[in-house]
Amino acid sequence: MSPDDRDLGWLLENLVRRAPGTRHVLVLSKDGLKVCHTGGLSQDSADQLAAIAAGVQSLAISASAEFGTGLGAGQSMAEFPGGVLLIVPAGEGAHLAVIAAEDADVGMVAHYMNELVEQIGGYLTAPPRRPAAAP
Amino acid sequence: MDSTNSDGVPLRATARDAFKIVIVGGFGVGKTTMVGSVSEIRPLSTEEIMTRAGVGIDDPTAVADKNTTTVAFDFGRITLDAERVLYLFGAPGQQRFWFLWDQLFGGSLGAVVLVDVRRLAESFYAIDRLEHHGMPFIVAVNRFDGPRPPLDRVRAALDLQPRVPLIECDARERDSCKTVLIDLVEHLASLHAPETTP
Ligand SMILES: Nc1nc2c(ncn2[C@@H]2O[C@H](COP(=O)(O)OP(=O)(O)OP(=O)(O)O)[C@@H](O)[C@H]2O)c(=O)[nH]1
Ligand SMILES: [Mg+2]
Repeated sequence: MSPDDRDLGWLLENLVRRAPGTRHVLVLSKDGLKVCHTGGLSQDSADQLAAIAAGVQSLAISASAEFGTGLGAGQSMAEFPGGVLLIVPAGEGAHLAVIAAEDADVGMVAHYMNELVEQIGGYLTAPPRRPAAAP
Repeated sequence: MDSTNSDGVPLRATARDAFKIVIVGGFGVGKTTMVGSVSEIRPLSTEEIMTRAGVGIDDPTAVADKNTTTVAFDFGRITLDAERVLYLFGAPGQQRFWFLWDQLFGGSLGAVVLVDVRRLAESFYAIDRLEHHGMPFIVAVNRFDGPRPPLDRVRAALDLQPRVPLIECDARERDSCKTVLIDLVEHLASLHAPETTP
């Protein structure tokens, strides 16, 4: 089964329905571009969130490489007045980002996010532009 | 722990002056390369592989062997001499990350604008922003293969004011990058020096 873009959109909307407090869901490429997102997010906001989430994840992975004991799952969270940003790695070359309400149960939202990645992470991808360069 | 002097002002662990410097410029002009070649500490790099989501958005044709792009910023450090340590922040070049620039500019003393002469227009935004912030800068032409227009033509094309230093460099060479940074520090010093009448 290979969900097309419409099915992917539906699966993201489903995450909003299931995980209480979730407002927006976005799949982004690791180089900071939107891949698909829920309807409540405008194109401009999706572009912004994709760039922000890519930067946050990249810095988080640097922190983990510098101070951690290995490259972990690489989940990030930012809290701010009026919301929470959660990001988890998705399929190859991609991350899954969620904007949730300030009072959302973050553990619960993260659980649903990871569940979605487990189920369809293989489709939440942004493959490299060029094949890996020969060494 | 840092000690405190008689005025109650905390002293740094060393007596050295730390300067925050930003390296800006368009997509793929060699900013990350520069921070990497000149830094004495393992540079923080936030490179990510360019994905197919960028087809039609990023145009890496001019830099054929470029596979990654900076998604946050580069960070490195270089000690110029006993007195001066530079903290280098390399900006991301792609437009979608430009919102980070203003934050990188905060607390910076000066900037290097790195330029690829094949794509001069990529540098206009950087020069605009720096002028807007009133931040002193120098312009360094990163020598790629290809045409080498004389620097006065580059100056004219960039519409650079005469007091802005313009030099050439090779971002891959440590010594060349170091020269650029020393030139910047000297330029900053000359701006702060009392007016001297010739
Ligand atoms: N020939 C040549 N190639 C260079 C030089 N400097 C950098 N490169 C190559 O040019 C490409 C661009 O370098 P980067 O350092 O990633 O450029 P950047 O300005 O950091 O790019 P972004 O962060 O994506 O905007 C890389 O593939 C480098 O290997 C140079 O002086 N000469
Ligand atoms: Mg870079």
